[in-house]
Order: sequence, then structure tokens, then C-alpha cells
Amino acid sequence: MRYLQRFWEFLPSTLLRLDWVPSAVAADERTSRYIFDKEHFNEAQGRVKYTAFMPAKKTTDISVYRTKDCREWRIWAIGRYFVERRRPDNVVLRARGDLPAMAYVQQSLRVTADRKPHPRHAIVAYWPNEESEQRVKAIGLAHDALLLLNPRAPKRRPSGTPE
Amino acid sequence: MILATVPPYKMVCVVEAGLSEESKDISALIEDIRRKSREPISFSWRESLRGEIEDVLQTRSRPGWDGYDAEPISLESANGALRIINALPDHITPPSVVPEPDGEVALEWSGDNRRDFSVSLSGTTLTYAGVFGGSCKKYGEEPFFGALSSTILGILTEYFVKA
Repeated sequence: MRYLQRFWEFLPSTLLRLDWVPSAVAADERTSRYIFDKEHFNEAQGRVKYTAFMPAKKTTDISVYRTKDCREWRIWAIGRYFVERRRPDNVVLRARGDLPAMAYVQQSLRVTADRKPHPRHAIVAYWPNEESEQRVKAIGLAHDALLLLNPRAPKRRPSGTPE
Repeated sequence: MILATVPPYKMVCVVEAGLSEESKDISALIEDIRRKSREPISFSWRESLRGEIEDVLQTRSRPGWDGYDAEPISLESANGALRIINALPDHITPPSVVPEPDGEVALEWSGDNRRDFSVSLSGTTLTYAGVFGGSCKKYGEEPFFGALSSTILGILTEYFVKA
């Protein structure tokens, strides 16, 4: 039974990996930032919060996926099989913030194709060291981002209750 | 849910948590109502924010809580956010509490016309960043010893005053 379960995990992720995108990231390309924390977007206001775009101290960059010419189901499937299910904890893919690669360039950041774990994976790098400067860039990105909610994510519980 | 009559003849509502998602949602909602009913009438937005900070501290105590490489929310940063709350004037709009991937707790104001501002405190260093409309950006760091500077108060008073 466990082998069958593993097979059904393996099959879609293998099929999704059969994908091709050019190595150079075009300015008009759509990118998607997957969001897992409920405090990183505001559903009522329909906006992504700046914290969704802040880099971690450990990596000093952020991870995005190049989703130009991707259908909705495929974008969510990439998030599910290449981000959510690769985590050891049970994080839930709740939403994503879409914005063109140009938005990162306008903040003096650079989007580079990474191709691992998926051909569409990219890294947004060249963040400044100062936290206040990082934050002001992240706010600028959040202003340009389009919030999309994961249709498969569980409904939010009332505040103050455990997830 | 079981309704029973017990001496001295009071109706008692016993909630047994079921296994379904709907049942869990209802239990969480009832618990939320109970929690709110215990709150005093003089419950202010400051008290509400303190509760949110406590929640953020408890629910984001493990590395990678954001689905990426976030650091656990630090007690020091949570205390810093509480200190900022104590220093906020009454005439401004209440902020929201946002956890950052670097383990800090920030307070965020989001207004009309793409106006966003956030502050956080680490030790005695207050970090702030804001974008107000199109290209107006204000950011930096300054020492904090219990009172907000004229710079921060000026921003809050200019952009985030209660209607």
C-alpha cells in the first residue's frame, strides 16, 4: 500500500518535471511566489504582505517559480509537489503572489534561473544587507503582487485557534 | 453536541469534538466565542495586539515556519513589538502583527493609495520602512528607549490617523 502511495506521488512529480523554459529570464515573464503562512497575506483586502517577499537570513534570497504559459492547475501542482510535499513539516500551500520579473528588476534585484528542483525554479538575489532596505524593497514587490488563493487549501480558522 | 439537564437544573452544552473538518471548525468557532466572551468591555486594540503577538510567538517557534528557511520568532523581538505598542499614540489606526522570516515580529500599517509602513525592535534598535504612494520611501534604523522618535510619529500622524 505504501509503495502504491509512493508511486502516485512519484508519477505526477515526474510528469511535471518534463518541462522546458529558456535559461534567460525575460522581463515580462510571470513569476509566482508560493505562500504558506496565513499572516503573509490578507484575504479580506486581497493583498500580499511584504513579509512574503522578505529573504531569510540563512539564504539571503527568495525562491520563485517562472510560470509563464502555465495553466492554473499546473502552477498549483508545482507548488504542491516541489515545495509543499518536500517539506518535512506539514506546511500548507495557502496562496501565491504573482508578479512579472520586471517588478524585481525595478527593485534592483536579479531573477536567475535555478532549474532545481524543477526547471521553472528561479532565485531572486542581490538583496541589500540592511534590513530596512530589504523591507522597503519587499513592500514595493508586495504592492505589485497579485494575490491568488489556493483552491485546495483548508479554510482559515478563527483567529487564536491552532492550525 | 449534547444538551443535558443537570442539577441544579441548568442547561449545559457539552461540545464533543468530532473528526470531520466541519466539526473542528465549529469547535474552534465556539472556543473563539468563549474566549471573546471572557474579555472585558474595556478591551482595547493594544490588548488585542498583545494576544496576536503571543499567538505568533507560540505558533512560529520552529525553523521554517514560513515554508522556506524562516528562523523561529524570538522572544526578544516579541518583547520589542510589545514595547512599541506601549509607545504608540491613541490617535493612530491600529497596526497588524506580522512575523518576519528573520525571526522578528513587526507591526504593519497598510493604508489606502499603496501606503505601507512597518516597524520592529531588536534590542534597542528600531528598524522602520515605508512606501507611501508611488516613489516616496522612508526607511532606516534608530535607537529606541521607550518613546517613538519624531520621525516615526510624523509618519504615523501623516498617513495613519484614525478617521
